[in-house]
Amino acid sequence: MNAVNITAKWLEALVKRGRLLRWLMLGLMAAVIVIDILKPAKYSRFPWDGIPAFTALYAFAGALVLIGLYKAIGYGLVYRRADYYGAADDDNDNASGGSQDAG
Amino acid sequence: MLAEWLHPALVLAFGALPLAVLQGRARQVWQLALPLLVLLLVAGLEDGARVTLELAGLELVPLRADGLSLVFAWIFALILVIGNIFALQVDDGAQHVAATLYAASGLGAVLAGDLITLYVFWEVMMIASVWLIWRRRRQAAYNAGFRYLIVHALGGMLLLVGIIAHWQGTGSLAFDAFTAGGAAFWLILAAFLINAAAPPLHAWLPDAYPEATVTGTVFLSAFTTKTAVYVLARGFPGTELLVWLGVFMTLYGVTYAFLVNDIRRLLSYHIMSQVGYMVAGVGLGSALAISGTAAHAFTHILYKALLLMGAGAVLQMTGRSKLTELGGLYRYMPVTFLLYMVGGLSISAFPLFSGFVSKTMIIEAAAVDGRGVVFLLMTLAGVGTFMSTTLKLPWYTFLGHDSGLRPTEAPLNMRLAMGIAALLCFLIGIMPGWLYAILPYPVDYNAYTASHLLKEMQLLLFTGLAFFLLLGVLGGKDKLSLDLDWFYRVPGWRALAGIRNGLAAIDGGARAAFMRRFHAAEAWATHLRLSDWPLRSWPIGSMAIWTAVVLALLLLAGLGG
Repeated sequence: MNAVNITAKWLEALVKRGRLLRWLMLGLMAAVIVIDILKPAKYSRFPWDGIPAFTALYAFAGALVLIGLYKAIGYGLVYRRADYYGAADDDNDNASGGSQDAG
Repeated sequence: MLAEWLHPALVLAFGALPLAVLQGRARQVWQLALPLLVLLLVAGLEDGARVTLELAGLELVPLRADGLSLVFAWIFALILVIGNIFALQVDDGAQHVAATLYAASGLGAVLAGDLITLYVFWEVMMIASVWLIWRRRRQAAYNAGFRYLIVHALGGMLLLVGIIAHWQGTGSLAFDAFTAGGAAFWLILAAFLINAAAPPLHAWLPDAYPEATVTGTVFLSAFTTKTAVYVLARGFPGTELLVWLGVFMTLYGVTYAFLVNDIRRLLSYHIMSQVGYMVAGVGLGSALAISGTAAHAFTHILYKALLLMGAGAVLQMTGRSKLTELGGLYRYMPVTFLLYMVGGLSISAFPLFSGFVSKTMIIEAAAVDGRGVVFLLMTLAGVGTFMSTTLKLPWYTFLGHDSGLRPTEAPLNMRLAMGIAALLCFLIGIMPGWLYAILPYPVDYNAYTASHLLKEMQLLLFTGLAFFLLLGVLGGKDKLSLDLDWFYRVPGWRALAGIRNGLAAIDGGARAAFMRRFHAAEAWATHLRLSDWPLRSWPIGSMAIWTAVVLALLLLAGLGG
């Protein structure tokens, strides 16, 4: 069995344990929040440095803002059909390996 | 010492020529030997090395090695080795010559100690690199290449005029920090910013890079924008405008990366975003910020090449590069997927990977400077980077729904190149000391403090939470996203076409008017000839009579004689 197959099997095993990984991630999130609350802030350079879990809240809210922003810009301003600049800009290349399932 | 006389850029430029004629194994051997030789020459350059020569009364410095230029020379030489391993299977001499000349000019530009040498290498860089786009050999690449060329020609022209203005103003051609103010300052800054893909003239990058060849994009991602970062750091440290422009670039890039469907275009927008951190670092101008900029350029070249190699491998093996047409490839390209993820974790500043030890230096420099807004906006850009590069792209390409594509894994040489880049990303991440040792200024910075780790993990984990909660609405859209290149591709093109049509109409009208008058004159002459009108006028009629009389007399006289 070559390295590609071993890697594929290993990845497949990880994907099958998706639920476990999800719980591990949630556990890790809880852990970093708890530690941040318990651990005294190292910096006081900015007003938010002393707020526990500020970075987590900022990241979560920031992600939602960015998603909302790109949706608004996309649908409100910049999205056009794929061949807007001409069909030549929208072609695919030929594949050099493998195939595509008919189904 | 040897490298001072064997300029690495010239060795590389002349070494490119055999690649045009060598075939098969001989070409592959030379393709590896040449970059390794150049890497050795760069390793032999000593801090402080300098070569000067006088040409037509001008004092030129074709080689200047110092703390700043050596960081870039190192990474340029290194990525050339990796890029050539990735391109070993490409049987296209023109691409190899173009890539090598492009790398030579990039290397020449960062080692240039005067503005004339810089300008020459700057222009060669443009001419060589466009062939990496054109060699894709399809109409879209040809068109994008021309747009790329026009924008860079404009930049080159601004640079030349700026250099002349600087020379006339100061009498010096030395390439050092420019004094703020004056036409030369702004012209040269504008030229550098065009190559850094700073708005509003940034669209050449996401327009052209995804149209380049699979291997060409890897080289393109390394040299042009990073040479621009180097010259900005050399010429414009501490320029306040760059702080805000850089921050804007970080957010502009991540926002547009969400909007596009093509995976290589998505990554191209992230080049713009990551270069934004570097431009902001140059603007901050402190020792920590400039060292952070150099460190981030170093790590960025490696992880961005890795990401583009992964995306390029997908394109090569499937013929597809749109998120809407990909999915479920991890079963067929598992090694490519894993190596891509190393690049993704690196660009996202995940602890233990290279971006964590470099990007956080620039953000820390902003914090040390007391710039809260800059700090928050750069952090926000980090959220966007993680979501689109490390979550969205791999999810919809390698995981997610099964697209039905059944590619084979990328060739061994491509996996090897990705493996080397991934290994370096990881090694820099866990042992940043040797990167910090080659930075322009001594670094008193430790990325691995408990506080940094805790904040970075919060950032990444909760960004991931938002992503997976909204996964259903984040897939690629089979749409084109207009960028500022629209202005020269649609109204600009229409205006040009209008001017062309107007000039053609004026020309055609003038020709038609001339011909109408000519035909009228011709008709008038014919009319005169046929109407006997000339004989009706007294002077002409009498002249005709007298001519007839004289001829008659001559005839009579002749007969009489």
